[in-house]
Amino acid sequence: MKIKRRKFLQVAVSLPALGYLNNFKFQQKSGKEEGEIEKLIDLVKFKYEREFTEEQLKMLREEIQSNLRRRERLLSFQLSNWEEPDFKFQV
Amino acid sequence: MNEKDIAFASIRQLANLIKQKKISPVELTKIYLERLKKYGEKLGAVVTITEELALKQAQQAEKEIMSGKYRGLLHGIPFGVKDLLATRGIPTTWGAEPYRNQVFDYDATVVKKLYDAGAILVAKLAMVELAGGMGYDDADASFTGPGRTPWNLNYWSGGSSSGSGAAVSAGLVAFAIGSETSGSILTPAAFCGITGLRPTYGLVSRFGAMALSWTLDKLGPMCRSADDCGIVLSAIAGYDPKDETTVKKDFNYVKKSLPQRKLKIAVIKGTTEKAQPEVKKNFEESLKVISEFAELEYDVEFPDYPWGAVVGTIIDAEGASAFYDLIISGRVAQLRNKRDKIGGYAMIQVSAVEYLNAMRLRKKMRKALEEFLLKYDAIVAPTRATVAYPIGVDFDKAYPGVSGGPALIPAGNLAGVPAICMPNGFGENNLPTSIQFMAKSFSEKVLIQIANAYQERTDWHLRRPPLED
Repeated sequence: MKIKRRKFLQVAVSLPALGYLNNFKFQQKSGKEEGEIEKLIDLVKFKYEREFTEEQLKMLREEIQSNLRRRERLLSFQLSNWEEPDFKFQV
Repeated sequence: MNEKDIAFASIRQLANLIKQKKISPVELTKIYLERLKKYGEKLGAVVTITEELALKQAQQAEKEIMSGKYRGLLHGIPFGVKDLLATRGIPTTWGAEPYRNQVFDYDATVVKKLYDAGAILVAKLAMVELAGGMGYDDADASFTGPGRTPWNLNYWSGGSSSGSGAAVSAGLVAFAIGSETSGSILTPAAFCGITGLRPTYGLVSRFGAMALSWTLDKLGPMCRSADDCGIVLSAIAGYDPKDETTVKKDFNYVKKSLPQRKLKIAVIKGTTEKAQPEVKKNFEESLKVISEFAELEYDVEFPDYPWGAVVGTIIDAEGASAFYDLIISGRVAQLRNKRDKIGGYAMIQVSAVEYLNAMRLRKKMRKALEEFLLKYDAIVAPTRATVAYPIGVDFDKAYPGVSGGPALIPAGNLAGVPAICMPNGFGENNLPTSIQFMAKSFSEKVLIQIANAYQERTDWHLRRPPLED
């Protein structure tokens, strides 16, 4: 598809802004993820009454982060309403 | 044949010696018991040597064979099982400190079937604690210490069937049983230079086996040749009312040559580009051998799906459920591996919706893989992109930048399809490299035929590790 000059200029002008917005969105997302991780760690401490060493907290953070990223990846695959899980319930 | 030759002989060779009364089951059992005592601990491969039971079973086998009651190729053959299979009256530790004193009063179906075939249990073999379900990140992940490959004791045997791999490779047992949820037969088989077979989900009963992931766990043979795998699989396969997932199918193996027509085998694209150079080179050499008996289709794209992510979600959810009590009680802190002590707390956070979505995606992905595999007799790839990992180094730091491309092991496990792997040369530090074949469900016979054809043309599976006497 051929891009018209006016459109090209609009896009070109907006590129740095888009970069800024993307970066802003990334920072927001990354900040949100960090917040979620810390809350989930607090939940573990509260719910299971566990104390962790600094090294263990670091590993737990990594594990939870990797789970959150995996969840994101899985959510990016579309499923239709009628698609059933891969097991059967039988009476 | 001297004792060492006997220890490394194939099941068929040992059966012939027994049938011809050149060796008795008691003599054979004593050879393996001695080797287990001598090398078992050194390799971190053994939890319990079942000497008393073994000698009793060997005497019984000897009596029966002498009186003409020969049960078949496994009669009088000593074996070991991964220590997640229940054995009546003998500790079954699951490789983990919290279960170190666990004793069941029944035998797992697989163990019972092997007893019925006349085989002799000589050892419960070491394993990664809880079959690796809590996310271990280095080789030190069992209360027996790290498993070591007999090819170089500074390197890991692979896991989670670590003792099964090392014991077969070092000639401490004639064969072993391992389990695979996602790679736990193929990886130790590859790192120890032996032949491992992951059967189709549902072909072998898991009754009496520790559960990590009900929809992924499978039991299978780990042997020194594909022919041996066929013999063992014949004995352990089949429907079991105690395991609802088993199918009403038997597996009767007879060693046969390849069919007249040339088999069609797909070479998966992208599996060697980022692999270790020796892995790549050995794989290319192997393809030359395979092309003697099969038509190879090169650069075949593997279906692109989030195999690892889906398998990971399922193992986390099912594993957290299976070990819920261990996690919430805090006893998980007694596990050996640093990451296993905390992994359960992340696993337990996988929600029901995430699990169900993973299982919904799994259905699509399984169908896609089944359709893909229907086009070929088998697909082929290196089993692992690297040789065994060094002990004392976190896995992710062992070989930075090396990767194996498409995730064949998670994909095959997710779809429940069979695979076989075998040694195909050596790489860094004289450690074995390995090749795997995967095919559609219940195609174990074809896989074994292919592997037999490869092993008839090569001698990698006959090489012995340099263990000092």
